[in-house]
Amino acid sequence: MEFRTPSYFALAALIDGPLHGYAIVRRTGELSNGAVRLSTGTLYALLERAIDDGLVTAGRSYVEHGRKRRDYTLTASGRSALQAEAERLARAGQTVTRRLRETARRVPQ
Amino acid sequence: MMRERLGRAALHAFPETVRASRGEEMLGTLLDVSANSRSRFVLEIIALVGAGLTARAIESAKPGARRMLADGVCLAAIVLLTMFVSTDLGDRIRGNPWSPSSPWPHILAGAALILALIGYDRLAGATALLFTASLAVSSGHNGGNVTVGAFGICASALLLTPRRHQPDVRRLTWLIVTAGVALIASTSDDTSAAPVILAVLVLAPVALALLPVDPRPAIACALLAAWFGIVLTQKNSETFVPGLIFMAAAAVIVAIGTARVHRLQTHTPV
Repeated sequence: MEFRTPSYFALAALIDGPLHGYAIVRRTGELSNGAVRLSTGTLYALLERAIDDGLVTAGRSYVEHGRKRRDYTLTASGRSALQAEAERLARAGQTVTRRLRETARRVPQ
Repeated sequence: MMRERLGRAALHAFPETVRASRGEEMLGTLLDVSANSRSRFVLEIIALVGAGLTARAIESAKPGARRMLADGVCLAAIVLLTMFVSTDLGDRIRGNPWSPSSPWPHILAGAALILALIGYDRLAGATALLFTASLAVSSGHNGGNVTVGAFGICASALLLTPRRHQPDVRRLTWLIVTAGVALIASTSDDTSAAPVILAVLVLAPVALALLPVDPRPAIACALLAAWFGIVLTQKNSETFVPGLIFMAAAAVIVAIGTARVHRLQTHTPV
């Protein structure tokens, strides 16, 4: 399964444990060094699809500081899909890095 | 407080089921995420409306292209009945009802419209078929066989492929639109022209704007355009080409609507 970048980081935000929507947005920003800024609309759309695909489960809703929340948890299937995607990205990165290193001396400055 | 109101308004872009299950949660996240920035809040609202419309589009595509086409024909039945009833009312307001000898077409058309609006599609279809039969035997109508055929197809769709939604009497508010069109129609000598012009000027642009979200109103308008196109091609040589244009436009809209449903049904990456 291939992930879009916002989904990849949003699901990665759940690796350490269940989080509610706002916490996922903040953690996604931290993990991507500010490169991914999830909007509320994007977050809930991707969570909906991830739930449909069995990658994430939604917990019961509760109230925290006057806000209605719900915690989202990465499933075992979600973890392995995320791991597969991380390895694919790493392999792709290694391939390009190796080729760049190998050809660096041949390219005129 | 103002932000909360705007957020709640933006949530209306989502289907009712999503709003009921996640609306408050989304609103909370939206307010937290944009707490310190006005520009972020504006961008969040825009993104939320976009996500809501996409969610609506996905939901409307779920039943498939065949169901969407059937729903479009059922909606076309409602528009056709509205046009007939408003023209008839317009004539009556002007004091020159056509076919005064037989009240049945008018009674049956009104009953079919009311039943279809509430959501009793099978009953509405059966009533509309009776209305079509009474229209076919009526000698005073100008529309000809094409109009009778259009009513027959739409009535059959209501009867055989009813829409899947719960009856709701609140949809009878559409009768206010019907009465309004009748009042406008009554101001003209050609009372049948006003409903057609209003459908082209008001209904068609709205339906086309909704095409990416919900193709069913556009499909309904396309069917009406096809009907109107056939009528024009049969009228005289001057209206033949405009008639063909209407028919071609109808085919294009149906093709776009069907393609949109197929695209939304194919799995998108997470």
